[in-house]
Amino acid sequence: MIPYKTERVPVIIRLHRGICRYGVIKVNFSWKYTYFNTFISEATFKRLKQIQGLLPAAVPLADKAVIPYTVPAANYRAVPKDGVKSAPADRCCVLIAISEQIRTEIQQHNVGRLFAVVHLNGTQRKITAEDIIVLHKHISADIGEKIILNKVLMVGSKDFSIIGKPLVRYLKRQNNNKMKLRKDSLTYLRINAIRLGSLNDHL
Amino acid sequence: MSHHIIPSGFVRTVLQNGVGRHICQLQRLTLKFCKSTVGSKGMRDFIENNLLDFTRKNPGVVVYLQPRRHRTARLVAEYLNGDVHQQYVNNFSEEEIHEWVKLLRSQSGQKAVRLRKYWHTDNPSIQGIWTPMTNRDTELNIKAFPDKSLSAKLLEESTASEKLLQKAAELRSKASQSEN
Repeated sequence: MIPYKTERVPVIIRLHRGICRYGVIKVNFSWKYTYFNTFISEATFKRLKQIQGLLPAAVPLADKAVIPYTVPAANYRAVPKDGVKSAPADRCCVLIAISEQIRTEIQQHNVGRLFAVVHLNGTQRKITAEDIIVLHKHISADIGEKIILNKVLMVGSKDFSIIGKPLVRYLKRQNNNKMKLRKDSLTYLRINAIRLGSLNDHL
Repeated sequence: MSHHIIPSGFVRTVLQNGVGRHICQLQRLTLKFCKSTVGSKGMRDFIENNLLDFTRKNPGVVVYLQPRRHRTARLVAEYLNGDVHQQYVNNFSEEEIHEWVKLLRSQSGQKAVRLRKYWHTDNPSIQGIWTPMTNRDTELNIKAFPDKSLSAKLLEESTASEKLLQKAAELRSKASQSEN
């Protein structure tokens, strides 16, 4: 038995079917208050249930899909050189180890440049610090004022991605080819900072 | 078709405006008006009722008043980047002029162009540009090609036709058992 790797391990995001191997780390975001805790996805939970015998007895698998961070990743093995496939159980343990690692890195402010996907004016915008984004809207904030964008769908750094719970519906566009001349009032927003953790920590 | 006619550009700001602290880009505002004609009535009302409030709230903006006999009323705004915007406000009401002053104050002074992108960034990618091999299983590194399992379908559930075939096989086995 080998302990989990101490170097940074990237978390694999569920991009589309078949690519996700390690499950998804989910984050709860609410309108007023931003907080986060690590989950594992339902599919991974099912897989965990299947291999329950391989995990330590303390893990409460029966009632909730939330796994505590403190589960030791003792069962993790690297993929052997002879090409033998490692068991899914190992991967689940890797996932838990990774989530623990991310948590400590966030606490130590050791995450580097962050990017975020925010829900803004009915659209999703990918932003990082020092960006300028333009809204097709007049907002009530005065020039020079600082505002907080609370509807965060995703936060990511170089080594991990945290995906929010609210999934924005995809609306199909109707076919319209009419020529329109419009005069929109535009608002420029400069992104000052992206911060992880609860809002109360930073205000 | 409008995109052929209107000049286009990208999002810009003056000298990274807003990274350190915000500076109002409007520096000078000149109100040109006539003291007697009807066209400047709204402007004269604005000066009498709202101008002092405006100057108190915006100490960084220099306001000049220029009475011009029998000329049309207009606002001239000079910005930090050196651009000058003129807005003709002849026969405008007091409220309309107030709105125009608010707009001139909150603008950056750059020319109004059709924006080709609504986003400016100096760091376009943080996790690296996506390639087909990004986030793939590292097992691929040690696979010997060609590999049959890699060409297999990704769908883990059985398809409807497979389910039907399975049911048919079950029925057949049951029938054969009952015959025996």
